[in-house]
Amino acid sequence: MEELISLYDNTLIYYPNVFFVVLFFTGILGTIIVGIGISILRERVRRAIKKIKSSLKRIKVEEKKKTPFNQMASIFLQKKRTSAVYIIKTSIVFFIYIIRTAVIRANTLLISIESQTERVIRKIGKEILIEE
Amino acid sequence: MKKINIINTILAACLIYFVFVPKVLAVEYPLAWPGILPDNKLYKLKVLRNKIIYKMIIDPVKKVEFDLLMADKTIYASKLLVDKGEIVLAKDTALKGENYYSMLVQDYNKALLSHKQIPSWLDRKITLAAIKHQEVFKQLEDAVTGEDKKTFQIVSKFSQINYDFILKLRKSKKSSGRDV
Repeated sequence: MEELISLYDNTLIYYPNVFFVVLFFTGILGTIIVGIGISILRERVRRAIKKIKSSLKRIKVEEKKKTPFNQMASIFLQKKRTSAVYIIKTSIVFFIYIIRTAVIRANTLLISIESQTERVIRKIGKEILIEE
Repeated sequence: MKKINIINTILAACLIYFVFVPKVLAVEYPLAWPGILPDNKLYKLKVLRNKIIYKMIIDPVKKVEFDLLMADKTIYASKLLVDKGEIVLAKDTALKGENYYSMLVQDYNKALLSHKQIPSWLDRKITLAAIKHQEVFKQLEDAVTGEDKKTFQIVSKFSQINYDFILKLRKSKKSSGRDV
């Protein structure tokens, strides 16, 4: 390693132009190799995408449901211009939808907790009866 | 008899002057050829290249070697510029050349601090280079007139101060070596 560093330093000190010419050509060669690599990779990716697209065409895709969530997302994701009234309407519907979903989820959670506690109480009641 | 004695004395004096004196004064240390001079348009590019090289060198001892080479080249370039008659540029170049020697002193110190062994041939070269530089500055001093002389005198003084620093570093290295 020491000898290699010494060789590198000596080339830099006594043959700087040779060093820079070699560096320049190595850089060009590296750029060419990287360019070729990128073009090959791009071709492969293009082929893969083509394959996926053709396979996707074969599969029947159900039409997307127009949920308030999708509508809200479309305002931000699609670059279409929408009126303020439409945005307000969609956002109100979206918030109602969110609150409704939250209430439903909470209700189901409460029901499941209730049934679980009922089951535990029944078990405990049976055990007490057996002991008596 | 007296005539022969006088002739003998003159001959002896001539022999001493032509045979011994030049060997004592002129140091046998060839300065590296500077290539393109500072009056060339491409010189700035060369300076940039040299700065990049300086940053790229890994070994501190090699940095000392590079500084010495650069100092030699720049001082020789200053001499060539004086020969060309471009005194103002020659003064600047001489100062820059001595600045390379100052950098050498710093790198020498760094190399010693990082416990690197300075080869004896490089040490000898540094000493010879300092003497040669002062000799060149003396020549340049004689070649110019008036205010220009002062600059070369100052550069020569700098050279002496830098060499004194090198001597101090060597002494401190030796004394620390004995302590260990």
